[in-house]
Amino acid sequence: MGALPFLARAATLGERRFLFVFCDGGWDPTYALAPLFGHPYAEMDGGGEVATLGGLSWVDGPDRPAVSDFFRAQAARSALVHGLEVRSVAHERCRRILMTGSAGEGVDDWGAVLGAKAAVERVMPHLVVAGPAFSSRYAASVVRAGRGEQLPQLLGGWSRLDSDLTVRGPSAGAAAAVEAALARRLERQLEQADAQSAAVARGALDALERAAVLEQRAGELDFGAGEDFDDQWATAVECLRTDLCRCAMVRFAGLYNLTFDTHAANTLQASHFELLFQSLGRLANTLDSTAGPDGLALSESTTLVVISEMGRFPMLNEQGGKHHWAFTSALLWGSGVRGGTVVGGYDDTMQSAPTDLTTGEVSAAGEPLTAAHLGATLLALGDVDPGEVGSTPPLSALLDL
Amino acid sequence: MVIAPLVWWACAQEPTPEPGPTPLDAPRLLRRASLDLRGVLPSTEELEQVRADPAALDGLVEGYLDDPRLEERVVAWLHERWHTRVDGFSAAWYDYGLDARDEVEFERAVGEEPLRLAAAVVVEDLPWTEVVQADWTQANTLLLEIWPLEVLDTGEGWRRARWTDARPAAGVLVSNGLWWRYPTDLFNLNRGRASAVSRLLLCQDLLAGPVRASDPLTLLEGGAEAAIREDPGCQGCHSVIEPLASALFGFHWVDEYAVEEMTRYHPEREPLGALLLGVEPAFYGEPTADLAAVGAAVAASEGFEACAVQTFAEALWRRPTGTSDADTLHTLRGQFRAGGLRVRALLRSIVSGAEYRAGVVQEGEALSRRLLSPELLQSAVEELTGFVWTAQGVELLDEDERGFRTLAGGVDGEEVLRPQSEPGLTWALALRRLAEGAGEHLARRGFEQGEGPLAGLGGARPGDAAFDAAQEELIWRLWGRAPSAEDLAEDQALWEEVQVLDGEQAAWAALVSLWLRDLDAVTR
Repeated sequence: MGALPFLARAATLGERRFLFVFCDGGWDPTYALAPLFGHPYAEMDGGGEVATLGGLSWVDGPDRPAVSDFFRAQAARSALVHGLEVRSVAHERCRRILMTGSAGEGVDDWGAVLGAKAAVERVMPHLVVAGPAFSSRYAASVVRAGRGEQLPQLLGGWSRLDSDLTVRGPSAGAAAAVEAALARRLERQLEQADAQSAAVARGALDALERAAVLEQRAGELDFGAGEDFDDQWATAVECLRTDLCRCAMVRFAGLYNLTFDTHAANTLQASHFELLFQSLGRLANTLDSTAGPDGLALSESTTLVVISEMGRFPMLNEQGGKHHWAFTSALLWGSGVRGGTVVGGYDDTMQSAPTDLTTGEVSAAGEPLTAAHLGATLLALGDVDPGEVGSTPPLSALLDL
Repeated sequence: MVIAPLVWWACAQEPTPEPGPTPLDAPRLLRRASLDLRGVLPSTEELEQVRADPAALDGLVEGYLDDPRLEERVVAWLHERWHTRVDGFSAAWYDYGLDARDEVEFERAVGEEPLRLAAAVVVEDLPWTEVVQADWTQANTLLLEIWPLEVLDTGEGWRRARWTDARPAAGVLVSNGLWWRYPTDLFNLNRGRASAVSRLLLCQDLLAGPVRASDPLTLLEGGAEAAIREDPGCQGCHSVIEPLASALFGFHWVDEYAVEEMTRYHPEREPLGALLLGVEPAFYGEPTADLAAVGAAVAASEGFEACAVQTFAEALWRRPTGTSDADTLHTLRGQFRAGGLRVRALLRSIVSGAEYRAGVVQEGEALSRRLLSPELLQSAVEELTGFVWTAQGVELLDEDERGFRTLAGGVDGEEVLRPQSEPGLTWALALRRLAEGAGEHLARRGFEQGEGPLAGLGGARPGDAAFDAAQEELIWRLWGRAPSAEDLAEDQALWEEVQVLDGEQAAWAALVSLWLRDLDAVTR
């Protein structure tokens, strides 16, 4: 058993932060995360073999060495969750279920909830640099950066904005005067309006104040992320470092942005996982070497949540690909995560194996895992009572609080 | 006198007054209705008319229902539900040899085609069933150039056209725009599209339920196709999905990225549905010979009628409907049916109701404050100031590749499926920049070009008759209410502060931008 060079510690100061990495398209866990060799139905890549370090097992393959590089370095801080049921095979619906626990509209994803319920008020409670986001009740806590650097443009004012009609923009003094006048007006309306109107006024005033703070600090940030994954998470890390956000979402789309949706040529999963884990390795190192607002390494207070909206059908189809599968895996890393842990599994039919939530082991007395279990776990990590959002308990086997 | 039974029945279905929210005052309500039904602010004369005589409001609103600008509103409402005004499709402008500058125009034309068809049904006061039975569609000049269409109406802009590629008469069910937005592939075989038909036109979301086979071994050993046909757990939904999907094979694309495949209908492929899915086309158990028959079956279904009521109620109430709305929706449905399934009659019923007219809400689901959507914000701003926020001709509040549609609370149809109902950070920022641009533009028009409501105000100061008149006129027009004493005092202080800093033109720009960001400007 290899030495575990690092033990995850609970954040000693402040709140836990979250960085969500959404791997678009529905990955095949058997290519990297779930070594199901010998499974009666799972067709494994012929070149792969199981690798183990501590309590963690993964798939090592010659065409994706970055996976093993990552786990050999990070096993002590990593946990895998297997057999998460997303109850659908439609991409959009699976995303919603994975990230909110529900198929319906009018729900909030885990980042929005964690951002909204943070004990510390932040300018951007949940920053969506790229990737999906679902918000309803906590929509005001979600800030989208925009597909084409729109947020920095809005922050930069008319020196950065484009318009066919000439606009120079107000002077700094005039702009400040208007902002102050608007704030006074909204505060007055807070006092005079009916309850519902007051809520809107309060939201507008809150947005105004947060925008002002972000505007002052805009020069410190580089929101120029675009589609490059490393640029995206660099932006997210910077916002976590400066405590501008508690949660951030980024999107990984794989080699040539083909995504993990390999209905044909499932071997592309190797390329996608190779690139993903190369970048995750850099991200982990960055979090280790970047001090957070409390002076400690960001890795001390940040939980990385690496997810994909669905899995892949266990067997190959006629095109050498794999279709959709309603069960998937997730990787958690960092703060509050019990490293070297594997929770859940796939039963003989590649569905969620009943799991003891306390030990994480497959057990006939346990329960099948769903996206709601993952969400409850994240909420628990974030000091939010999972009962506030639903009735599903967290995977306490994952928690190192 | 014998009253025709239908009329008697319709009269008997008049909504009885019900306790609930306090109604909004007449000018503000007129503003709400004008923005909702025409996309523009009411004129000063209209506001004055209802201020003097609140009873005049209903007559004015009735006129709004006849306004041709209702078409744009229907397009906007239906996009929030059908999600077709997206910023990209599998086929692109270059596939048709268009210019790069036509990219957004191309995307909007494609995405709006089904919405324009539906809007035409509303504006022309046709029965809503025409949406799934029309033997025509709507097309603009760009679509007429690239798609197999023959124009039926002369004129500019969106007009009636007919497909020339033998697609059946089934309204939006044979719309290129709809099926480009909801593509399929050789594995999915139109099942996703069948689900879209159910969700969009019947308000039945077949994906809301869990996807779970009763016997996983059927799935694993036979594959998904076998499970779909044999497993009871799968059949729960697929007994509906498969036959409906089977009817859509005229849109079966051998190459899902080939523009030639995507452009035209393929009648020769219609039989492939039964061949590949193993079921004959049908709609909820009723055999359908072709898509035209599917359209007829959809039109005759209870769900279609109920879904129309729900769709337009949610559009105007600006919130999802729920169980607490059951009675109201039932009443509206009766009125809709009594009106021959004409949507304008339905709209009339909705805007006449307490829910829509809510001003002060103490309890219940009604909203007293509803954020303006980005396109309404732009419309109101443009009308008042002349400022349209475009860049290289692209309306920046209507697009997301370069623009601020979702950041300003709008729907992109792919990741953001519902309009934002609360203020947020990016909403505040987008609104600020819009207001700054509009304020500056109006002031420039007045002071440098001598036009618009600020013309001739050089040298006027707060307290001067001209200054005060212009201030009150603009606020009245924008907010639908007169400014309060506190409003005027704040305005005066702001104007004087900025006037000292940057001069009177900048001071007016600041004032206008402040008014545009007031709650009464950004909500309705």
